[in-house]
Amino acid sequence: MTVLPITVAILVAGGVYLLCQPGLVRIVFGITLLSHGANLVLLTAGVSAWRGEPLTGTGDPAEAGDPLPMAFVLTAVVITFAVTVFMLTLARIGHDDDTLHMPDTGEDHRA
Amino acid sequence: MTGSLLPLLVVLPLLGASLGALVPGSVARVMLVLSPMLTTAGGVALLVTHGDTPVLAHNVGGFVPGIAIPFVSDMFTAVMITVTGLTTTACIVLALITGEARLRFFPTLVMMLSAGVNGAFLTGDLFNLFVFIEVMLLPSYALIAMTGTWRRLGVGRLFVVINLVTSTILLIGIGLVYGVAGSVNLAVLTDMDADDPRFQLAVGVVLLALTVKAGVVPVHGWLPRAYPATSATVMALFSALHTKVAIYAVFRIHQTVLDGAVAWMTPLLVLFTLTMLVGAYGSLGERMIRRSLAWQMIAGVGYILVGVGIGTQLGLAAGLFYMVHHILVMGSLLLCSGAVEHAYRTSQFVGLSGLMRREPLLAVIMALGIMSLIGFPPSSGFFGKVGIARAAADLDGFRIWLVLGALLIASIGTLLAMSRLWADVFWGPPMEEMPSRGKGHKEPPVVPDDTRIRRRTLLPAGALLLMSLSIFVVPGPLWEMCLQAADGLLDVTAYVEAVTAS
Amino acid sequence: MWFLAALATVPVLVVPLTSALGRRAGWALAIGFLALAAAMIPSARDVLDGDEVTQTTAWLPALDVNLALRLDGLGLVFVMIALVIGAAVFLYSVEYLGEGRQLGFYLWMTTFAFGMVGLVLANDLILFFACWEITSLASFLLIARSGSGAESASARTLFMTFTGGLTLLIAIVLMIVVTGTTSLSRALTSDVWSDRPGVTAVVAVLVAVAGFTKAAQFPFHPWLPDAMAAATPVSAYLHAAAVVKAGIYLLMRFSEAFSDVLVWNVLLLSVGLFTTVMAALFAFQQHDLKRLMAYSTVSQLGLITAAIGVGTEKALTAAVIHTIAHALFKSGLFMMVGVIDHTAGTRDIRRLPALRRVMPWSFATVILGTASMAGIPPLLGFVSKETILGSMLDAPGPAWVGMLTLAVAGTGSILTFAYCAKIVLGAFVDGEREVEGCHGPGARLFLPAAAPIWVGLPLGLTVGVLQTPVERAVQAMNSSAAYPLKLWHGLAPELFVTAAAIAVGAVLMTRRRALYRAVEMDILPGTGADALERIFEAARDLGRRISQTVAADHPRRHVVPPLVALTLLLGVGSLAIFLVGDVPATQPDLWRPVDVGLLVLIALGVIGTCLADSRIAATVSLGAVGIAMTVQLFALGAPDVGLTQLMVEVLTVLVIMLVLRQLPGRFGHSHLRRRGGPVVLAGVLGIAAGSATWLLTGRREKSVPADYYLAEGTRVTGGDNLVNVILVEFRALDTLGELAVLGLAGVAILAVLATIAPRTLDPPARAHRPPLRPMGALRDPQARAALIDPQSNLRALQLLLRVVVPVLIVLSAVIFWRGHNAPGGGFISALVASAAVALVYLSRPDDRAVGSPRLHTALIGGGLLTALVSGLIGYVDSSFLQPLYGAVAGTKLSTSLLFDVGVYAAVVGLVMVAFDRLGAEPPDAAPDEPAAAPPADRTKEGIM
Repeated sequence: MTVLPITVAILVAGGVYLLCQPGLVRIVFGITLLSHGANLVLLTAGVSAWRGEPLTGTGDPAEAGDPLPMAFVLTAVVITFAVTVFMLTLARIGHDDDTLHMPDTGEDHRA
Repeated sequence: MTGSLLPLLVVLPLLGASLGALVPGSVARVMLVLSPMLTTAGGVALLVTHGDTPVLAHNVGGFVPGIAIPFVSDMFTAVMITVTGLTTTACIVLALITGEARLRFFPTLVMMLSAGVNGAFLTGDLFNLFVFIEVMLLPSYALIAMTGTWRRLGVGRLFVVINLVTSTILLIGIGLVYGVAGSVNLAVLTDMDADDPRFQLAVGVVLLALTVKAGVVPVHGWLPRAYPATSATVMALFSALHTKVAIYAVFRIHQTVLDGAVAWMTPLLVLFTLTMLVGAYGSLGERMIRRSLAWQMIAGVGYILVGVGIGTQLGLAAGLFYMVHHILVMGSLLLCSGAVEHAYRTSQFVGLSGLMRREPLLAVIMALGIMSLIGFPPSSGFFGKVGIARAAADLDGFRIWLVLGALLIASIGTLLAMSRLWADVFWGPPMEEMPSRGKGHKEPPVVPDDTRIRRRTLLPAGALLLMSLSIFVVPGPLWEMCLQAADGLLDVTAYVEAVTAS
Repeated sequence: MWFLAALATVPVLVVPLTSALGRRAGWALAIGFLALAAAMIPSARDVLDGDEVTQTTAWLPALDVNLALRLDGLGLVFVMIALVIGAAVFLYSVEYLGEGRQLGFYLWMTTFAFGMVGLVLANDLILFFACWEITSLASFLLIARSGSGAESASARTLFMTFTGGLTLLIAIVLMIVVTGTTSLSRALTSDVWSDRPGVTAVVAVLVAVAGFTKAAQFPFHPWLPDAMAAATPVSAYLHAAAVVKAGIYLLMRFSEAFSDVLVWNVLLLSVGLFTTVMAALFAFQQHDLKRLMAYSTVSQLGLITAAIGVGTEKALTAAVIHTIAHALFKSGLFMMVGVIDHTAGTRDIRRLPALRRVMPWSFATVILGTASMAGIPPLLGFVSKETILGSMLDAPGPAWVGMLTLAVAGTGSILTFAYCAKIVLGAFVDGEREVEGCHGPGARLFLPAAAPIWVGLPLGLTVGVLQTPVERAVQAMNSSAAYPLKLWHGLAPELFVTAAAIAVGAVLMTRRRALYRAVEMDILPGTGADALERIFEAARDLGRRISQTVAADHPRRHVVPPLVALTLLLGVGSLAIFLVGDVPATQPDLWRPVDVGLLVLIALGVIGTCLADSRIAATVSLGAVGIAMTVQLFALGAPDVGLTQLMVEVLTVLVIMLVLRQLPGRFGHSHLRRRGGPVVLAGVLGIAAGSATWLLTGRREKSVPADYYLAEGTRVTGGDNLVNVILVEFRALDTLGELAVLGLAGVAILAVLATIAPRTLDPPARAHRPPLRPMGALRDPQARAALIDPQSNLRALQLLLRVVVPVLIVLSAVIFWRGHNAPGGGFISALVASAAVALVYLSRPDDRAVGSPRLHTALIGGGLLTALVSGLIGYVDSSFLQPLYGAVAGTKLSTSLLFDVGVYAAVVGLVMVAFDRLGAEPPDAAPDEPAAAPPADRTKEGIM
């Protein structure tokens, strides 16, 4: 029995629900939750049994956690942040984040 | 060429990208032209190198194998880098002619895009693949949202969301792979027991994410919506790079890590044939050149991946051959459409008519391109089609009829779709006599009699087409390369040795 | 080989020729074709002496595809037909075609001839297929260029022949696989065909279908009458020598393998006979001479097909000789129709005057031609028709089959006689209209048309001269001695059939007026063309339906399929694994009590985010989830990740707030009513993901990399913080990519905003009011003061800044420095500095930018550049991104520190862009670029 998978389940579920909403901001929130879930998967992949800080010289190396997934997650977090900011920019255009109709860009809609 | 130089294929475009943000636009545009040429040159160098040394590998940073991120190149990689480099060059030339390249930061974004593509081709590490796919995608988000029609922004949102979700799925998959195998290094993963269902599931998630990016039915829908909304040039760029990177990764991972043999092979084959059919007939339903072509891209993905589904050396080689053919021809056709749109401001059937007499050169290029797409001689498409059929004939039981039947029906669909396109755009009354441009258009089109496509805008398309034609005349070398690439995918010992040795 | 090469150059030569001679290029081409035919004579002699001429050059060795050519008896007949008829047609066209270059016509005609001859000579299955496709293409092009009326017809033709081509392709690849050779001759003689009846039947049917499509056999016949739209010379060649004959050639060539396969015999015999009767009837219905001719071709080919189906040497002999006869009289007759058309200005027998007085020579010629077609002695047509009828008796199966087939064929020849008579009478005898204004054709138009027909007379009388070539041709198909050709076979049953046919036909034609009226009605509902158009329309509907399924631009429609796919994969997958049950045990104590608490917090936060109706509330609970995640990360012993997560969370929330200012306060209510679907999907996928995580993680020992890093990491890099050394040294490449993404995200924002009209970006009127007005704000004096006078409201914060910003700067510097050995590093410190930027921004009463556009790009570009350069330094030793170590003032330094500087700069750059472009008034596009005029092809797509 373990807990983290349940946390993953909740995060993923919430993310998916929000992804199915029309507003882009909600979708962004959904993706944020989803990537929280993904990050947690990555960390559990490093086996959550060992939770020592991977700092040489502090604590027992045998207990230290796997640093590789941590590095992965850090990278992933930052990439998600970058793209999220970009998406928020798109959400802002036309003062409307509703994805059901095109944002108004002040261009004529005739071909 | 030695392994330690492989990273340069990523570094130089990235350098270009970073400089491009600092220097004035004119200088940036010069670098913009040079970078894909460099890529192509590097690809050719690799092609030559792999003549005798099958695999080049380099552990970036010089750390121990298995820990460091390996950059690996074999014949497969070299072919992809060369072809994508060529196509990118053609697209950029058109972008310069149409003035798109003058858009703010266009050069920076495109150079970063190609850096990401090269990285994705070269890396031998799953997580690094994820990173480079992101490097490839981020500029694409910008490009899709800054070029094209007023719909580009809404579609840009769609494109970002889809790709971000897919990337997250990819990330989850990589996490699961690490959870099972304790490594994300392809060479190391070959030691895993490919029949372990847990491992298969983990890799399956990775492959799923990649097939979404490749546009495989039934997760294809975003592609024909998103791509046509950008400009023709960017769409040509995407069609040559994005879906193909995903397909490349599917070939590589599926063959290297799973030895190509898994329980879900037959279902996969069904999906791939379905992709052929849906793509071919979907393009019949569209009334715009590039929308129609977008569906043909999906059909092409089906043809290519059927090679994986067949899984024999011949099958893989045929798939690769078809991929090269498809990149060239799709690029040529899309760039043709770009030339049309540059001159006539539309790529809708209702907006165009009687171009055959008005634009003979365009008609010739596009006709040959369409023939190549359908698979008529004298074009690369002929051997593409024959190759797939020939490889499929080796299958057993109902699978042989599945593939051959799909090939038959899908080809007919493509023929119908393309002849419709031809009839609507190239036949029919001359432009001047056209009554109206259909719904959404207030007044009849203003097409001055002297409006013509300038010859140089057809140059890139023509160049790509010539390659397709010459492949028909001299198919031997490319086939040999594809066969060697297929060997490399089937027997990974050389790959693993190169990674662990370097 | 040289021969085919020469032929291949002809189309190339056409371009200069036509530009030099105009339509008169026809003469040159005719001479060229005759010369080529003459050049064949030496090899032809060898063939007639009974051996083959072969030649092979490798084309695609990998697939064992060769440019393999073989000339045998059968090939010789068809090559000669293609060349000689071609020459006649070219001579004719010079007069027939209008003035002008006629490039298209000559180009495609010569390509056509090339494809045809290539097909006939090809001894490699793939080459054979290629030439087959070329003939399809050429015929399409020839028909398509004959005016807009012909375009749809040409499309239908292409569809038919292309479909046939595909079945042929499938047949060919199957043949290659089962026989293991790509050589046509070896494949046909393989004993697979006798050993494996199953596959043999399949291939035979596929080949037959391919043949039918080209030879216009039922139900693939409609394209041929359609093709009438083409110019007369084209039709003449098409019908007499090229496409349709390609179909016949295919059937003849492959009968070598299949002539004793029952399904082959039955199929060819039945389809051939049915076609011949049906088409003859249709022909008799026509008024347009050209259409009549077209149907007569279909009918004649049906007869040949049937003969091939019988497959005995007599039948095959008959087929070959009739092919020759048909090539002669049909090409001639077509050209004669063209002559009539030219003279009288119409081809409709109802409007044609009685032309016999005006053009007696044509009259005689047409009589001769039609007589040959009707099989009247002593013409060549008689011999061939006679032999075919005779061979019907040898049809496989019981005797009554032979009688039946003979009877049917007899019926066919009655009708044949009838429509032949209709041609002659309709054109030359009947007709009231006055004939003045019409005058005989010029010799240069008439002679090439008449020649092929006249040849039929002497050939019929001295049919023996054809003995050897025909014999060789038959031997190529089935290696027994051929049937002797004679004009007079004695009183064989077929003679009586012919006599009867002529008699009945003659009687019928005396009552022709009534007869014409009788057959006026349509026999089939709608023409074949209509049927095809219906098929096309159905295909288009299907296409529309397919493209409609995804015709939506909002992400939901497109996100759901991948998510469902993932649900299926994870759900089914983990269920299967769970049931199979060979899952290694989990490691002990994977979880700590704290996880449970965080689980609850996260759950609450997620629910809050999902249910919140106001954007602010959602943002807040999202932030809560973020904080809980941070704690979780710390709890998992990942301080660096935790710190990063924290800073990212703060900045994200700030950016969200900036964006929300521009958006309505509440979420728009879902236009998509369905809420149940998402909930279910979310639930199931959540469970699937959770169980997959449970099954696939936490069940192995520490990974090899983990052990390596923990043991060696510090020794190799000199850094104690393993996560950081992984980021900047072991996997610096990942970090480089991530850095590029970060920096370029800033660039991307600038680039996109630069293409958008400012008015859609600036805060609109409503947004100038403070966006987050607390309820009853105006009644609360302090709040009012705050809102009315932001200046004073911010004073405190500004004072605070004087202290905080420097502190933050120092702090970030410290974190940066210690990063290598303790939690910290480029990212985290940069994020701290970004917090300072954020504070500065917040402390401004107005939305003034923190940094200039130049600064943005400088930070981003410079950062990326620094990182790259630091990586390139690695080449000093051996590898890109290889860290070099040195000691400055006693402290160990590494080039990775420089790398970290790059990271730092890029992060700060992005954050500045975010605040300045999302929060502040957008400054005009950078001076050095044209303010991103929309690209030339911006507006080009209609409302979908």
